This record gives sequence, C-alpha cells and structure tokens, in this order.
Amino acid sequence: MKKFFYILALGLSVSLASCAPSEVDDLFDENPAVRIDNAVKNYTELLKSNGGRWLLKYFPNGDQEGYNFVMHFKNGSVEISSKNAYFDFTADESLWDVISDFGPVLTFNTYNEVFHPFSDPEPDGTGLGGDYEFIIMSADENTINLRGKKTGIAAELVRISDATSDLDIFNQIDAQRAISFSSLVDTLYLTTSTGYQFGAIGHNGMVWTFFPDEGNHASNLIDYPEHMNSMFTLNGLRFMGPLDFISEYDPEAFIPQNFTLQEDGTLLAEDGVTRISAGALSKVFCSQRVSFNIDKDNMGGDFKTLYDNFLSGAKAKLRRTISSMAFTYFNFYESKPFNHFGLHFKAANLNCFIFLDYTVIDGNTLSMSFNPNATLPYNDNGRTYYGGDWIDSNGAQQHTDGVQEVRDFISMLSSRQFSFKADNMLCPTKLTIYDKANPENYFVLKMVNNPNYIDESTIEY
Amino acid sequence: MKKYFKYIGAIALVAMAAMSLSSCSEKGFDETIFPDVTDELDPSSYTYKFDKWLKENYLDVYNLEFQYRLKDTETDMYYNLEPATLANSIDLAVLAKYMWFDVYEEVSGSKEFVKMYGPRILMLVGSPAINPQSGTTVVGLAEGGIKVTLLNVNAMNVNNIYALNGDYFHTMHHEFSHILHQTKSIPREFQLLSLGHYDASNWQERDPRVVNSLGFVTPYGSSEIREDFAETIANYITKTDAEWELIWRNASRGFWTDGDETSQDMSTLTYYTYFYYENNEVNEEKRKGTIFENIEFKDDGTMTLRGQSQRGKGTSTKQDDGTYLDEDGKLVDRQGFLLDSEGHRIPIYVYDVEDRDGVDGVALLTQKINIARNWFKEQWNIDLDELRNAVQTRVSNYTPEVLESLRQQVNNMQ
Repeated sequence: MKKFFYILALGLSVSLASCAPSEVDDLFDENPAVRIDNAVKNYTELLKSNGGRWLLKYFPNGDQEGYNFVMHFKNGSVEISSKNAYFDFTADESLWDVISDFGPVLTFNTYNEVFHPFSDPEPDGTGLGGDYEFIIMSADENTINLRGKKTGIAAELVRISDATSDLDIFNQIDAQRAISFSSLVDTLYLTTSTGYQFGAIGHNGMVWTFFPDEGNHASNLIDYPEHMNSMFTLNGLRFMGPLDFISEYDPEAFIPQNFTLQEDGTLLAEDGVTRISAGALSKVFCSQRVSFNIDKDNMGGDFKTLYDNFLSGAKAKLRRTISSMAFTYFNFYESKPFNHFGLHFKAANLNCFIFLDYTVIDGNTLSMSFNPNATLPYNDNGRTYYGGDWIDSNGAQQHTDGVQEVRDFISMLSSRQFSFKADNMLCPTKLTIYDKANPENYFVLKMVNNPNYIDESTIEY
Repeated sequence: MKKYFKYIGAIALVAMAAMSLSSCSEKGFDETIFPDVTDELDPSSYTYKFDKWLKENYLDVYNLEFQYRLKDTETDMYYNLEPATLANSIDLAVLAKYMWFDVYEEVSGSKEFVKMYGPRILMLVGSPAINPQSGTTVVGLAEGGIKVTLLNVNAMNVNNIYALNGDYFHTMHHEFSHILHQTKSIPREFQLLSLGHYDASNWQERDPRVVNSLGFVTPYGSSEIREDFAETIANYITKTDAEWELIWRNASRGFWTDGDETSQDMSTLTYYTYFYYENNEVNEEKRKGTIFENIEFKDDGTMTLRGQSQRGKGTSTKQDDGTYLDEDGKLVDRQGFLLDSEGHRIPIYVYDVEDRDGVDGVALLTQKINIARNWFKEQWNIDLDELRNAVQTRVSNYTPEVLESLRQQVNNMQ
C-alpha cells in the first residue's frame, strides 16, 4: 500500500513540475540564426570598409615559415598579392565570401594563384596543407582573428592603409628581415620577463629551436615545433602561436608571440620586457663561425699605436707588409680541439697564427692571454707558420720572436680586460672591442664568415 | 478499502495526464527563427553576369545548382581540395551546357528528360582528389543521383576538346548513367555477361588493353557491374571512332606477360601482344620490344618485322663455290643473314600472342553496347547512337571560336 502512495506522490509531483513556468531568460537579444546572419553581414561589411585593405599573416602548416598577403576586399572579389619564397611579387583577383558554417567563416572560394598554392594538395594529396576557409574568432575595427578550419592554425588580418603600395609593403617586410638575422649569428637568445634565458637556433630559416641556456644545447632542445615557426610582418616577428614552452621552465614569465624590431636591433615582445637578441657580446666574440677582422681605418688610443708599431716592426724586420689581422678560430687538422682561437695575420708568403686563450668574465667583459703551451702544428713548406709555441725555436718564433713590436702587441692583449659594443644587438656586423679601463683604446672589428672554420663534428681524426 | 484505492488511483492518473498535457499546450508554433533569404542577384556583384547566366541556363531550366564557389563542407573532408578558378568555371559551365545538356535536349526533343533525371547539383573542384594514403586520384564523383562533382578543373585545357570530352563530359555521362540505372535497373543479361572477371579491389592496376580483351572498355569498368554499365555507355558516347578502333583491336588480341599476374601489384606488369621468332624459336630478348608499329602484314597472312631479317648462327664461313654457311651449315649471305632457296633474305616472322583468356572481347563488348543501346531506347526513348553522333559532331566542330561565342553568352548578360 505504501508503495502505491509513493508512486502516486511521485507522479503528482512530476505533473505539477511540468505545469511550472518554463520561461528562461534569453542570454541574447536575437535567436541564433539571426545572430549568425547578422555576424555574416557585419563581418562582410567590416572587411570591405575603409578601403577594404588588409594584411593577412598566415601559416600554412606548423613546419615552415609564415607568409604575408595583402588583401583588397571588394564587393564579391578580392585582390591578393604576395612576395615570398615561392614567387616574386604577384597579384591575382578571385572571389571571397563570409558564410555561416562553423560560425561565421571567411572563405576564398575560387582559386587565386597567389593564395591557393598553399592549399594545393598536389602532388601527394596534402601539399603544403594550408587553409582557405577561416573561422572568424573575433574582430575589432582594425584586427580580425581567424582560425584555419582544417588546420586550426591561427591567422590574423590587420587593416592597412592605401598609403603604401603592395610591393612597397613586401619590400619593407623583406628589408626588416634582411637586417634582423644574419648567418654570422647562429645562436640568438630569448630573455624572458623574469630574466631567464633561452638559446635559439634555426631563426635564419624562420623555424626556431629553443633550448634552456644551461649548457649543452644539443641535449636540451625543446620540442614544440608547432609554435616555433615564425614570420616577419610589418611590425616585426610573429610566431605561429604563443611560446608557451617558456612556462615549463619559467612559470612566472610572460608568454610572448609577437615581437617588434627596436632601434638597437633587438626584438621586443608585447610586454615590453621579453626580448630576443644576439646575447652577451663576449659570447658573440667567441663565435667559431665568425672572423673579426681588425678595421685598420677605425681604431683608437694605444691600440692604434701598438697596431701601427706591429706593422712597422714587421715591415722593418720581416720585410713583410701585413695585409690583414683578425681575431678568429683557425683549424688544424692534426690537433684536438680542431679549431683554435687566436690572432691571425697575413702578409705575402706569411700566414701566421698566434694562439690565444680567452676568459669570459661576464656578459660584456673578456680577457685574453697568450698561450705558449698550445700544441704546435705542422710547418707547411715554410709558407705557413703558427705561433703557438712562441718560446720554442720553431714556427712563428722565427718570424715574431725577433720583432719586439709583435711581442708588445701580444703583451697588450694578454694584460687588459676588454668590453664590446655592437652596431646591432640582434644581427651585428661590427663589434667594437675596447679597453675596459680606458674606452679610448679600441679596435672596430668587421664580422665576416670565418673561412677557416670547419665543423669539427664532420672531421674524422 | 482496496476498492476505494482503486478509484483514487484511477482519478489520480487521469488528473496527472490532464495536467501534463495542459502544460504542453500553452504555446503554439512561433514564426521561423531563420531570417528571410532573398535569391535576388546583386547587379553590383563581381559575378553578377555569370550568376545570372547560371540561373537562367541551369537553375531555372534544369533546377540545377551550378556550384563553382567551393565549400569544403560540401566535399569529402578526407581529401585536401582547392577551388576552381573563376575563368575555368565559366568555361566549364558554358561547355557543359553545349556538350552535355544541349545534346540531351537535341536527342530527347526537350529539356524535360534532363530536368527530370539530371543531377540537382554540379560542383566544381579545382584540384584532383588525391588519397594521401594510397596516392590514387579521383576526377569525378556522383552522390545518390543528386550531385555530380567535377574535379581537377584548374588543369582544364579548353583547346583540347578531346581531353575535355574524355575528362569532364565523360564523367558527366558516366555519373548520369548511374542516375538512370538507379531509376530503371541494369538489364539482367548485362549483369551476367562478365561475371567472374570483375576485380573490385585491384581494377586500377589492370592494363587497359588487357581489360579490353576481357570485354571491358576501361579498367574502372572492370571493377563491378554498375561501373561496367556506366563506363560502357559513357565511353561509347564520348570516345572517337579512332579510340574505339583501338579498343576493338585490343579486344581481339591475346596478351602475354612474364610477370606474376597473381601478385598484389599488377601495375608493374608489362604485357606484349607479339612474339619475335628467329629460327622458329622465341627470341626472349627481342620480344620485349615495342614492335607494334614495325609490323608488316603480308598478303599470305603472315606478319614480319618491317625491313628486318633473320641472322645465321655464329660466324659464317666462305665455301669454295663462293657461298657462305653459318655454324649450322645454313646458307647465309656475306653479312650473315639467312637466305632462302632463291637467295632472298628470310624475314623475321612475328606471331600474335595466343588469346588464352577464354573471353571473346569483341563479342562481349558488342553485346554490352547492344544491351545499353536497347535499354536506352526501351526505357528512356533515347537513341544511343544518335546521342553519340550528336556528341561526336560537336567534338569535331569545336573550335576556339565556338568557345568564344559561348563565353559571349555570359558577357552579354544584362
């Protein structure tokens, strides 16, 4: 009997509940169909408004650099231009639309010879894998955030004025890239907002590999390829996504994605603190891939005096005119390590190398010392002499021991502390090495690729 | 007491049902939540003339939507595809009407036949659909008789009507054949003709000439009955006389391969139609050559290699009487070529490969075309030969000026 009343009570309560008012306050003023229809119309008008000229920042996939496209949206058609690794400056007109699909979607729905090669499936069914349909995630008057429908990769449209031609825009971007990276600097450094530092390689190909700057980078490479590819835009450098690997090493740090080029050459993130640069200049000076040629027309103080004496002494006692002098690594096949640091100078029938050791004291301070114990390599038919074992009777001693001015120059290098200035803190081409105690004493060093450097890992001893 | 509860229970149940139902009936249907959508074309639109031409020539006439703006949700998302160019879309739209829709109108006597049975959507895709796993390429698709998709439109060459006919309009005839046989089924006698010779999984690896000799027009036609039927019709309509001549010739021949026909990858097999014979023995080396164009057909029914003669064996030796003999003692000339009793060089004889597939390819193809011809006439009141002639006439009369005049139809829209 009890069971009967329980069932009856349950049935009555359900019935009464169903009579209760079911009105729920609407979150939106309009129903979904009207809202998406309005969104389509609004985005269509936004794209065409104020001249309808936008710059698209686009990554076709996670494995290569991104590309810029200037897009001029008109009533039904869009003119797209670009200049990139695949073709010279080219423009083409095709169709576009904003459709309601996964929400409002911007689609480039007829083939454009500038844009669609990035989504061409040939020859393997995938091609570069890029999108041509984009979900519109958010927008304001001057920026539209997009997400590729197939790849899910973020893209951004930024409004641009008619003041600059399409070609000039791409030339500006190219110029920015040209002065930003250099083959002379193979490692860059990202310093986070809290001061933590990551090294980075691969930037010349725009696909970066980062590593904590704590030793051997080869064993510490960070595997986040989806965020490591980048592109230059009008404002600077943009990564495909936020560099969120940073938080694993530096939880408090700002997570950057976009960097603007500064006057000193560095790339500064949106937070105004996080920065990419060539790093400590004393490290740059120690690069094995670069020769630092002393600019004979640009030196000062007693550095100039000692340099001039070096040349005149060599001329008088060796009957040689020194043609060039550089701080550099030099390779010796019969030695380990393979590449040695030192002072290299050349004259007719004289190719002389003086071994030096260096000590990095801090990021911008370094000292050098003559290394009398360095192994003396072979003597190359009397034409090439190496001054490693200066005290011995071999090698450079024959040419330099008797030249007091050379000894004075080496003594100076071995007795001072040096600091550095660079013409550009991201892509330096010149370093000024100066006496830390007296900046009036300085050499300007021109950076060039070291013709005598050979990757030791490729050598079989 | 039990009786009372019974009544109370019944009353309570009725009350609950009434309350529940009344709570549902409070609201009626509101107006549609979807905004009004106009099908009026915008005269200021970039594609107004083309869109208007499509409306007047496809939508209004055939109730067909010509989709040249690619929407990936309308495609098989497994494939990466790209849109067609606007220029190629316009060309294909006017050419499809000229080479396909107008032909059916001409042969059937009205637009009603295609309007009744034709596809509702014709979709263009710029790229081929390449399977990233297998690498196979799809150039046309039909879905349930509703939508026909033409792919690889960006590779279209309007100066080659044979390629256009073979690629795009062949696809349309093929897919339309499917639509028709889904309405009125494939004759049973056709379904029985090639049983046992279909290969649904490896058809793409079959040699086109070998499938001809098995009684199929194409390898795809050898995949299954329905594709055989559609391929027979589409190829009969679109292939030129010269192309059919080749099919008949292959259908009548035998083929030989030294590869393993039971292997998984038949695409690597090479087939030969002739053997070279030398001294009445198969010349293993020479028979692999492509010799088709060098065959000389003699009046006595033999075949020789044009201008080539048999060589004697080994070094020839001059006899006292001035003649030469080879190592087997056979008469040769100074250059070592075998001579007959009258002193003429003996030509290299060539022999057909024996047709051992057990199928009379010519007879089978003839039957298939006859069945299709009768089926078209009886079921659809369409003369298949008239249809073929109409297509072939348009193909042979096609010039760049024809295309230009068709384009003008779009340009002249107001």
